[in-house]
Amino acid sequence: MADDVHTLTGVYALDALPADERAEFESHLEGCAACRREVQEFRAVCADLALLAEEAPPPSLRSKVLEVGAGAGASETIQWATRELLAARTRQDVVDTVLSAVDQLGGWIVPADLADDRAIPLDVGLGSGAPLLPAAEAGSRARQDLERHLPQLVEDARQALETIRRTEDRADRRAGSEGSDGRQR
Amino acid sequence: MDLDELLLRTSRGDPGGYAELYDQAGGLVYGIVKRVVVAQSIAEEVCQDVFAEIWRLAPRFDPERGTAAAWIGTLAHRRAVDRVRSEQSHRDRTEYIGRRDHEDGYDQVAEAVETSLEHDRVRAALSAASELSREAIEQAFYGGHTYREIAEQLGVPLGTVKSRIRSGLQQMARSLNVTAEGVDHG
Repeated sequence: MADDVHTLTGVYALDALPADERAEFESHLEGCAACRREVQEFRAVCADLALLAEEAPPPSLRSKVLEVGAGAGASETIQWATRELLAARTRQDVVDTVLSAVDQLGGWIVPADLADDRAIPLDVGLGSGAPLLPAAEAGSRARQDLERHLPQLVEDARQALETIRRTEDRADRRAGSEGSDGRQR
Repeated sequence: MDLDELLLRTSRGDPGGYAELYDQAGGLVYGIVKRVVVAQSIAEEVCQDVFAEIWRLAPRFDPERGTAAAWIGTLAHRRAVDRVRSEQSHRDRTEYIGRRDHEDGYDQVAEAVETSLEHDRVRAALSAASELSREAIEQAFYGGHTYREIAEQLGVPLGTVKSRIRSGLQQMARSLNVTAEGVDHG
């Protein structure tokens, strides 16, 4: 069975893996460099396969697409937050970015124990104490944007925290391996 | 200006770079989306969603991990497949495999698109794969079907579909001189 999973690289790269099997394969990918490499190669092939289907979009589509990137909407906030999270050096940077994103999207933060039905059940406290939930009026644009974009952003934030933690661990280990007498332990 | 550079400009919030990115890659995105979802109105909606996602997530593009075309193509194809799966029940889609086969075979796709060196290169790569592999790859990629649906429709075991797809893609990758670091046009 363990061997079997490698045969899914092509299926996965073609998006032919049903949703219920995708999570399992993606967690396999996290631990398998050979499969990751193969998926990457296959995705490059897919870009070429897509070329064969190339077709000019209707001219009316252009202005609609370019609306994004023209102003200060949710997409701009998410792009900004995505950049910030990639550049984050400290835990505080990460937490601040997420909370600021909620604010920019028109929502506010409420502690979980004070939440009413305006709160979205997604913890943006990122493990630093009691859970914090984003909130916005039901049916509002802010609510839509938060529900739509926050889950991915919180996931990005978790990854950023993980990266920061690993960097700190490495630095700690290096510092710990030299004793106060200067000798390697 | 090449696509990688335009995507990097987009990731910095440059609306001009984003506009040029659309002008260069719009056909790629719209084309593959429409091929998968078929209905033009849905294709337009999904295409807008894809470009909005490109704008938001462009900072995550890592040129070390592949080309902008592959990154964009992956986003576009995934969104198209998600949309088509949410629109159709399993039974509808298995029946649809047969109809699509009849109407839009590989040859029709090849003829409908204007000839260019790039396209010739890809068609040659498709020919490098065995006919059985090509069939499974096309059903999956252009048809948006899951490997289970394909196995059911073709009446073959799941393992067969998996390995046909994988070996076909391996053959294509060799033909296109694709490496994990990007496409080699040499």
